[in-house]
Order: sequence, then C-alpha cells, then structure tokens
Amino acid sequence: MAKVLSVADERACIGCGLCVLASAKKISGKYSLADSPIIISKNRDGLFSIDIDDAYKHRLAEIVSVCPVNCFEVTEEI
Amino acid sequence: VSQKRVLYIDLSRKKSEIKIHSDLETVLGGVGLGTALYNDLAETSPIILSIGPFAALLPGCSSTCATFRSPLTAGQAESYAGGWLAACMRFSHLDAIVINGRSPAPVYLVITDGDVKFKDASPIVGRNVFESFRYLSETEGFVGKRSIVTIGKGGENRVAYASVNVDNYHEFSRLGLGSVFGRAGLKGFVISATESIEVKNDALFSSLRQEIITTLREGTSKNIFPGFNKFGNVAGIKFQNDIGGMPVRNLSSNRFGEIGNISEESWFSAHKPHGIASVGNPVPEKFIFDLQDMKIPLGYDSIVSLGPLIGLSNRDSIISLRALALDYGLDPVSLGFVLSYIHELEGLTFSEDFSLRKLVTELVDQSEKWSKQLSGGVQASSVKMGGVDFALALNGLEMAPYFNGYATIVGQLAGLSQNLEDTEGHRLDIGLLGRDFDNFSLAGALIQREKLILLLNSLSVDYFARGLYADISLVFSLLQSLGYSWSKEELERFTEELYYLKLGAKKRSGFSQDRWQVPEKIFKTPSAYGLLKENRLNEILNVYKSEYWT
Repeated sequence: MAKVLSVADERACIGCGLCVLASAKKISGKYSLADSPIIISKNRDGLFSIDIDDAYKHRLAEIVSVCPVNCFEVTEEI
Repeated sequence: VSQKRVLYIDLSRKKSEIKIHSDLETVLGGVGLGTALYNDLAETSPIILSIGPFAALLPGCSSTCATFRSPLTAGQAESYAGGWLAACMRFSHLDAIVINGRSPAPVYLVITDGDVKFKDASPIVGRNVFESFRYLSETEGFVGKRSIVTIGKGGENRVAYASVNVDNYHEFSRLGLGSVFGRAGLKGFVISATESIEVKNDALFSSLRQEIITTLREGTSKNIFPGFNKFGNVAGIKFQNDIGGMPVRNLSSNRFGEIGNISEESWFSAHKPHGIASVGNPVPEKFIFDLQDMKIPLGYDSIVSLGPLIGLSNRDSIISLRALALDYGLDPVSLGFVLSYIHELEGLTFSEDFSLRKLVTELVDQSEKWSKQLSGGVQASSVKMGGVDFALALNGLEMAPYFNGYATIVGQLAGLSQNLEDTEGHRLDIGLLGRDFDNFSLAGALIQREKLILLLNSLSVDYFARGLYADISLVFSLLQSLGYSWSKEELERFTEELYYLKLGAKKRSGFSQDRWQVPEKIFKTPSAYGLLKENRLNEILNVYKSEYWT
C-alpha cells in the first residue's frame, strides 16, 4: 500500500508555510505558494487549517519532517 | 536578478503600472531599495513597500520594509512587518510597491499578478481591523496564497501613531504608517501570489537553507536572539526589570514591583499562548493569547508599554488593552507613552479596564479638544498641553520601552530611522553595565551596528535572525546561489553609501544635529547604567557631528 501524507495535529500549526514551500518545490522544482499542493489558511478561531491536495498526497511523505511542530504523519493509503 | 520590478500605484488617478528598473541594480532591496525610490519621489511623500532578495525564500527573512514620511518626526521613516506580505510580493515578482497620490473617497486595492483593482472601501470605512480583515478575507478570496493589509479607525482618523495591520497578527507598528494610509484614502489591500521562483544554484541554496532551518529549530546557536526559542518576542521582560532598564509609570521608576505578574514565565504558565510564525520561519516569533473568542498577539514591547509603563500589572487588563490597540490600529508603544503622559499630566491612576478603554476610544474618536491635541503624539501635545519635561518622546517619536543607558537614548536620537531596533543601542548598553566607556567607542559601535542592520534590512532579515545572517560569508554565498554577482567589497560599499544616502535624506527633511529633543525626565530617573547626565549625552551626540556626519 502507498504511503501518503496526512494531517495529524492541525491545531499545532504555527502558520510558517514551510510545508507549502517544500511541497511546491517537491512537485514542480520551484518555490511557490500558488502551485503548492498544501494550503494553509486561517480559521475563524484564529488558528490554522491545513489542506492537502489528494492528487499529490502520495508524493509528499517526506514533508512530514519539514514541519517544525509535527502537524503531519505518514499513513498507509487504504 | 539585480533588476528591480516595481509596481507604481497612483491613488489620485486610479492607475497603476509596472516598471523594470535596471538603474537600481546596486541597491540590493528592502530598506536600500525603499530609500533609493523614496529619494527620487520624496516631494510627493509616497508609501513604499519593499523586500530584499532573501524574503520568503530563507528562514528568518520575512520582513517587508515600509518607507514613508512619518507624521511624528516629519522625516523619512521605516517600519517593518512580518506575516505573508513579503512572500506575496516575492511570489508576484515584485521587489517594491510605490503608492502615490490620494483617493478622493476611501478605497482598498486588490493586487493580482501586478494588476491593481481599485475598490470602493465604504463597506469597511469606520470599521476596525478585525472586521475589515474579515470582510476582505471573505470578499476577496485567494485563500492560502494572499496577504491582507488594513488600517483601523486610528489610521482613518489620522492619529499620528496609527499602525497598519498585516494578516491580523503582524503590524507596521512604529512611526505612524497607519495615519499615512488614512491621509491617502487607502483603507488597505489584498495581494495574492501567483508566481513561482526557480533558484539559480539550487544545490548550494538548498544546503545553506537547510543548515539555517536546523540552527533555528535547535536553538542552540549563540547567534540566536536570547530567549527567543522559548518565548519568541515576549522574551526579556524579567531581565530588563532585573537590570533596572524598564520604564515604569512614565519613567518614574526603572523597576516594576509587580514583575511577578508580568514576567514571561508567568504569561506562559498562566495563558499557554499559541505560537505564530511568519512565512518560512521554523520557530514562532510571536505568541497569541486568548481573549474571549479572539487571539491577541503580545510581545515585550506591548506588554511593557501597556503594563508597567502605565502602572498595570493585571495580565487580563493588559491583553484587553492590547486588543483595543490592535483593533483600532494603534502602535501599542506610542499609545502606552500617550497614556502614561496623561497619567502624569492629570495625576490619574489607571486600574480599571473601563476607564482605560473609554480613554483610548476617545483618543481615536477625537470628539474633544484634548483628544484632538493628543492625536499628534506626546511631544506635539505637550507643547500645547504642558508637561514637555515628561513627554517621553525623542525627536518626535515616543521612546522605545527600554531604559538601559546612553546607547539606548543615542540610538534613538542619532539612529537614522529613530527606531531603536535599527541600532540596538539597548543591547549595546547591556554589555556596558558597570563599566566605563569612551564616547568615541560608543558612537562608533552604534554606527557600525546600524550599518550592519541596514545591510540585513536590505535583505529582509528579521530582527531575531540577525545574529545568523551577520556572517557576511554566508550572505555572500546565499546571494551567489540566488544569482547575484555581488562581491564582498560591493556589499560593504553599498552599506556605506546607503548610510550616507539616508543621512542626506534625514538632513533634507529638516533634522538638525544642533537641536536634540530630549525630555528632562530622562536625566532624573536612573537607567540600568545609572543616572544619565545631559552633558555626557551631548558629548556623545557631538561625536556623531564631528567624526561621522561632516
């Protein structure tokens, strides 16, 4: 089964965007916000939401170590 | 890569255009680019936002520089903000945004791909920062790839110490940019990022970038701002009090008796704040604290200015006052000094939230003569209302909430931006505690530090990461990896020329090196160094005039 990146602890997110930049670099070889498969956005409660594009999550396992506050985990796709 | 892509926006004519400046190849970016552009346009008093080559690509490099004419000092000023603004400019391939003119009716801007839409701001006119942010966020979209910049009623009503909010938790705080936005009829803007960046020498760049990320995350380097990894910008409260460098009750004292209530340890253990990082920073540089359903950022400056400076030790009262300043869009430091000035002028005691909230609201609404007078900051107000001796501003700008010694004061008077963080005089003073020094060494050290900070501010380096990027060999390698063919000598020459370009601009704006505006109270309360003497201060300032500014 394929290993995929998934969100483990969204409320820990500090909004640094390192995962956004690293995943854009991984997919396209360039740094970008717009072309990134990960989107960080601010919730109404003032903290952050993390969305991973399903089409790319199987290519992003290494992003798990990029996050400084351990928001991600690698799981096996069911 | 050295060419500069600049977006010019004319609010009067509602026009915009992008210009490619090959004539600005030698100004790096950030404050260097802002100063060069401002110099050419000074007569029109533009607002210039600029970033440097490291912005958003390297950790600890999230600062956008704003260059403008300060309503407090009447001279060229700079202010810096984090958040995602620098990233959105970087990923729009914009090195700078120059805003000129005045809109006849308030507008906000939507900037996408260098294209600018001028939108009617009437739905958010009279609304404060939180509501304006929510409106712009819900109306304009671009979720996850945008930055939202807005003013509150403080800026709209032209309070001279109004701030500009960036992405809710960040601000162009000092020197009154919010008032300049208000004067221009600019309520704010939304900028979205649509472009990608390919790094020239990716292998070298990625390896250096990873080293910097690791160093910041581990927090073990002596070059990282002390206490930063644990407390972010809240660090230093207890230390400042211990050394006797904390301005308390309008500088009636240099130590706060109730420090136990407001030390960083007490804030963190009682409130468990959440960390916030600007784009690309692997450690939180700010912390947000709960207030009902809101999250409020607090740091050393806001805690001390809205706490000990006005005699408050109740943490909930300080959070509440900070929330009000954030929402109105007011610099919490200047606001603290305005409140502490009123405190002394009127013999008031601030203890209840209600009276303070009412007072701050009146300072923004300006329905009374006294509140109109106070909208210009403490120095201008004191000329009309009295209390010049204890109106704690230096050359027009309310002082920073540090009182460590001569370098702290000289750094604000003779520093070209007047912002203490741009000379770090307060840190220099810490090294001088209990020691004698000569005036030439002190002035020389301050100028040397200011020049280094000018270089780092031209690269978009954040204050807490200055120690890491002060390694010029690292800067040189990073620039090379990004495709900049600068030599080390060129970097040094650029910094030297920038210092004197800024000095020239300061002199042209009416700054006089023969007339320093220092309130007498500075010489009546001991600093961390001891009681400061006016003659000694003047002797140090004269070194600037005789040795460096001729």
